[in-house]
Amino acid sequence: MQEDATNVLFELLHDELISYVYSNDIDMKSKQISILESHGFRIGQSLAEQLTKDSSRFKDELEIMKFVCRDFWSAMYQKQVDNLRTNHQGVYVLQDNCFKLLKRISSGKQYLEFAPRFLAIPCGFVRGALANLGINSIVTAEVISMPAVKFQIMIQRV
Amino acid sequence: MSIVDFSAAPHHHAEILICIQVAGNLQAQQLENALSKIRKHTRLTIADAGRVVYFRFQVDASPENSKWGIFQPHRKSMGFIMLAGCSTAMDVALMHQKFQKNKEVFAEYIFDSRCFVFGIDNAMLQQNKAEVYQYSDVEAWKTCDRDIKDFLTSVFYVLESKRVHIASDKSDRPPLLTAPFEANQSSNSDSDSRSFRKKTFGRWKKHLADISLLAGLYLEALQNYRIAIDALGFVNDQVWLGCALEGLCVVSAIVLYPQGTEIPQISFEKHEDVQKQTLDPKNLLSWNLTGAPSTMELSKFCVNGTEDFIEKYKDGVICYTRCQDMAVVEVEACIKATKVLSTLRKPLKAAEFIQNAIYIGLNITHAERITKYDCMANLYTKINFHRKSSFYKRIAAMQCVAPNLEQPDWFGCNLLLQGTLLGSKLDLTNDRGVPDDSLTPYYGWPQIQLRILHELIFASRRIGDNQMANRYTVYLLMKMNKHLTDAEIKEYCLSLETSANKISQEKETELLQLQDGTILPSLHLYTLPIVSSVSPQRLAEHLRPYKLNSSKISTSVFLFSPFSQQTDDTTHNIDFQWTVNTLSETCLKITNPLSVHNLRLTGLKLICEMKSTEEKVGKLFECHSVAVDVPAQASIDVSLVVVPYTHGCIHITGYEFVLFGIKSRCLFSLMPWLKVNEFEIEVAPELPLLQKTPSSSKENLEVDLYPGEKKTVEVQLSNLSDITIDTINVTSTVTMPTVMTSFLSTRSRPRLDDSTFGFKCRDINLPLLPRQRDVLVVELIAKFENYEDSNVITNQPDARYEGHVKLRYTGIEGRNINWCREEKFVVSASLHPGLFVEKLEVLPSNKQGQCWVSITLINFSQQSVVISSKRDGNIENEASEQIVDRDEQVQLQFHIPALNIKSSKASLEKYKSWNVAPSSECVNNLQTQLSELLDLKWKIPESQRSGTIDLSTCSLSRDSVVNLIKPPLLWEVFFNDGDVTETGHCDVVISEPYTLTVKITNKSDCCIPSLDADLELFQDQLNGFREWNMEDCLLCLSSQSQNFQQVEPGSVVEFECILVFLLAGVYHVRLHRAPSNLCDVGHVMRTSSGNEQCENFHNFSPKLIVSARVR
Amino acid sequence: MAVCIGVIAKENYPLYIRCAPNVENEVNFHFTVHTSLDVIEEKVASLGKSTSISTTDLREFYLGQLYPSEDYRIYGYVTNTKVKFVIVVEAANTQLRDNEVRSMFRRLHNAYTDVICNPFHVPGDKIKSKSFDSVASSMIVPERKKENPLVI
Repeated sequence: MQEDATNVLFELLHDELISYVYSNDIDMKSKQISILESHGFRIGQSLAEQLTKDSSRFKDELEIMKFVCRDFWSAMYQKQVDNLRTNHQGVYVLQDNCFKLLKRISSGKQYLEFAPRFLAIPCGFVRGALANLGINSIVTAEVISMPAVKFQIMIQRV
Repeated sequence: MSIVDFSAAPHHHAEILICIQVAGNLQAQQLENALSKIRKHTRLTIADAGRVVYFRFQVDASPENSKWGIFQPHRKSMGFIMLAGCSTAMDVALMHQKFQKNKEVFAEYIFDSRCFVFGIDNAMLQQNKAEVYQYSDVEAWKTCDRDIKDFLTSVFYVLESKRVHIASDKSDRPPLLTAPFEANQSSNSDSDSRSFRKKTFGRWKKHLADISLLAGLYLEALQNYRIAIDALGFVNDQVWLGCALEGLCVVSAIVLYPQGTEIPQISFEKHEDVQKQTLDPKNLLSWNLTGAPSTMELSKFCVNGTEDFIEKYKDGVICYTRCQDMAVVEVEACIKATKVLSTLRKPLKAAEFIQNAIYIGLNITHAERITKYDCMANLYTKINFHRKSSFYKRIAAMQCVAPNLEQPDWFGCNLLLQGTLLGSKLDLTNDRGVPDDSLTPYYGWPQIQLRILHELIFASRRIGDNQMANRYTVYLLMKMNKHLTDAEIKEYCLSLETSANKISQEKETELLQLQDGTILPSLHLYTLPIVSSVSPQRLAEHLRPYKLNSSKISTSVFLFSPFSQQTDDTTHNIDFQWTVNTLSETCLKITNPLSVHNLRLTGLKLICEMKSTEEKVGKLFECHSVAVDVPAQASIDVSLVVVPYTHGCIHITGYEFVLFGIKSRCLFSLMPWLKVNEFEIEVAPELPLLQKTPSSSKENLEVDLYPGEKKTVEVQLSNLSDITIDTINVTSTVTMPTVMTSFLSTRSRPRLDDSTFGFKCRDINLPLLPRQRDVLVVELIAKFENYEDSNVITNQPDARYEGHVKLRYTGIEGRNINWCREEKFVVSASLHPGLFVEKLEVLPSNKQGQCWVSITLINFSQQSVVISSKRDGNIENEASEQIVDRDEQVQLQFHIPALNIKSSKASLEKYKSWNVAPSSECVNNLQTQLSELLDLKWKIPESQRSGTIDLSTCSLSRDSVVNLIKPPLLWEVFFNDGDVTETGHCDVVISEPYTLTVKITNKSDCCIPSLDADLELFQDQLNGFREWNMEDCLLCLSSQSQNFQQVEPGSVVEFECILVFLLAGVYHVRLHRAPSNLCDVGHVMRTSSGNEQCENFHNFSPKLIVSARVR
Repeated sequence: MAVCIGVIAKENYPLYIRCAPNVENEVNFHFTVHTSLDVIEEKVASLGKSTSISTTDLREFYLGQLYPSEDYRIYGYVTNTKVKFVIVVEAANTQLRDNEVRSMFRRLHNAYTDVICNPFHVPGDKIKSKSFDSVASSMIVPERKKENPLVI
């Protein structure tokens, strides 16, 4: 019961953050997504530090991805990513068939146009966590029918 | 053995050492040549024995080391070569003695020796002495290859014979081999014991292995090392066991890891003799002739892989550790192991060996200690432990100038410190001062970097290398000023300034070199100071060039091209132009990032490139330099001037300046925060320059006017340039200050535009030669407009108008490509209230072709005005002159002939066009005609002012317009040949026939296609009733209506009929045009109502009142 | 007890260096910690390289003793986020066991995680957190009384 309560709190806080950023209080039209994403980035950074504290040392990129799909996802959304795919050339696709932050919003195409703002922070989470683990990337999300989401990670090699 | 060979390498074990000594006066170059000739022979193929052996030549090899020949034969000099320079026979003799003497030192060890004497002609003084060869010169030593080969072959065969001897020695009790330090210990041992014999056996086997290795027999070497290890391990003979283990490892390394860079001769280096044999270079031992074992066979006896190698080598080193006297050997073993491991990419293991080597206590001199640390640093570099390397380099450097030294070696210290740059991430070799990316923070270890830079600066100053010291200091200030205290910044800046003064007197910026030969790229101070913005400035208004035809010329032939949008947007195209020979400014915002100390920049100027559109020799442009002081932590704006000398495009790509004696050229393309690579500015050709007098554009030319008054203003124009002005294009516009506009508009004051305020500029005499003047005459006329709002307060202030005169002028060169300059000035005029036309009305006249004009004028001026009109026969009015007092109204009336429409013929050619209301053009034309006809003038006697009253801008009602136009048809009525047109009245007698003739003249310019005329006859009963039935009263003896076709302009048609009045009375006779003919010239269709209602353009039509009476 | 504790960022610049209070030449410890990075980097890289060896000790954050020096023993620890911790212990201090060092690192890591999760901390900045400082200080040897060589 207590566990559920914290989760709900997180969701509510998330929603409030979005509605605050989209409110007129802050004068940052057209930058809201980027603001949300950067919030997510900072949180992702901290989370990566916190959540990898007790795991073993990662050997390679794939292990880091697996960490994101399992431990990171479980910590954030109480479930694991449903499917992880890669082209072995630096692109990973994480599919979550029932993404927690969209679950209560819609199942189907209703409110589809609002999906981006609810996925900005989660994208930032992933990018921030990966960045802290030494992987620079671009993370985007794709929704065809809520609440399923595909996160695409493109690794930026220097 | 006390001297450590820090250059020890594993392949030394397989190389026969030859000692070279130099004597006499052999020039350095000659010696170098001779040595290089000898050193080519590191590899020798002994065809007879089927071997390849290797040699190592060492100048002044220590005889001390040769003592260790029993222990490690590769340390022993087996051959001795003396290179001598002689000039006289005496020298030769002396040299021979010396050779003998020096050879004696090595006599115990060497197998053969040679002395090569240079400088004596062979033929002259040939002294046939064994082992001595004489040549006139090193260059003349043609037999070098043969001499050396013979010598080396000889050495080899002695060695080989020894090997064979040892290998085949079956003596029962061979003596115990001992290392030098063991000489005293040997006697204690029990020479009969089994372990002693085992030990002796092991040591001999090890020795055999060593010699086999030198003699090129790898398999024998490996096998014997194995046997030796077993034997020596069994008796726990630590030192020799260690040596055997090392030997095994070294051979294994040579066999298994030949690709290592440290073993070059043995693996890949091809020599002439090998090339002839066309062997596979990949196979290590393929050079061995037939019967030689393959790598496969060898590897069976080698160590078992890298791990085994490391372990065995480590064991060997541990064995050495147990004996104090082995320190040197141990250090060298570690060095050798490191070299192998570094090629095997085992940095961690290699690091352990280095670490071990560092902590081995050596009884060495101070200089050697420095060499040791330097060597360790280099080994760390090999395994990419740059930080470690840097650390030991610094330790070595500090040793060079240790406080207890009498003569500190600052040069050495400096050299070693420079070696620390890489490890401490102070990348000066790639530093051009360009910030890589303004976004990435500075990653470094400030405490360490500061320390090293401080030390480098100090060392450089000590050795007088001020340029390098400055370079380091600038690096500190540029990249690390956040970590410096204010006092440090101040101190460094001052030191830079003082040394900059010294340097600038000497040579200016040459490329700096580190002591290892690395050339440092020239430094450009991109961030000291920082230029945060660059903006080229427009020229001052009067200097700006303009395109003559203002239409924008598209750069592409396509209206839209998708490619045009892909243009490099980092080139910032400026939308204004500069002009040849005109000072053009670019503004730079310069920031000093230092917390203290002003930066004094000298020679600050722009870097430009110019692509001229024409062939032009010499300078295309010139950048002027300035000196500025940028205060600490402040930003200043600096204007830099460039003067283009040819037209085309100038590209501003950067700026340059000198600071602290360092000349920096900074390019915008390398300054990411500017977001532009360059500025491209079009340069117009040289244009003439006009100046008007009074020169200041602020000084306005002022006039005051009453409506209808005319004044002229003169402006003097001088051609200040050396270019003839051959085109001046004058345009003018009139505006009124906005403050006034709103105020005036509420009162319906005359609108201020060209129609109200006339502006004319008379032409200037062209061409205007250089340094010549001319006068521009501007004519101002205040026009009239009628005054529609009658409720206006009469007491109005003066209205101010501004006439903007724009002169566009150019010379021949500019005109050819459509460039000009502009000169503007303003003529301001105040318009006093004066006469206004309140009402202009045209009323019909009872006379055909005439009308009444009624003008109501109000005098709003402060004075009385006298109005005069033209005296003319055509015009009837009351008085020629009339005085109007202030605020008085006056009505003038004129009876004038109606006016022709002088509108364009085109509009009249079609009848239809008359079906619309008269055009405004037509009305204006009528008004102008009216003004000219009346020629009204006013005069203020009080102030001697006079002007005209212009009616052309007054508004006219529709009816007035209709009344003003001359009717297209002229009627003339004759009654029995008597002209009654004027009177319209005639008396007749009843029963008499009368002829009524109406002549109709087409006065218009058009042909009337069809004209119907109806005769109307009636009696007016004077009670509102008309009696149309005239049958009883009169007789009409012809048709009452007639039709005329094609009435040409100017032609006359006659309507004729004969009337006989039967009863006395008053009859009305009217000729009426048939209303059916709507297209008639005389009709205007009212378009406003939309109805097809017709109205006579002119009411006039023949009317006749006939009074018939009885005779 | 350590004489020096260092935290080094992913990009190998110091985030936090703390030495024992009685240390005279602090910059020497900077050099010690700095040079240990060579070994740490090599050890970290060797995990990626050796695919066949999946020994669990390589997977550990604790890297063990990095290299010996005459006066000190230097221990290393690297997190998954490539933040490095270095503890320098006096060579004379032989009581300290490996497990103790390990737990010291563990505590440092926990404290560091708290720093990163602190909203007032800007990632990449030097560590200014007092709570981290107190954790580190607790592991540093306290100032010793200067031994008087004249006392027999």
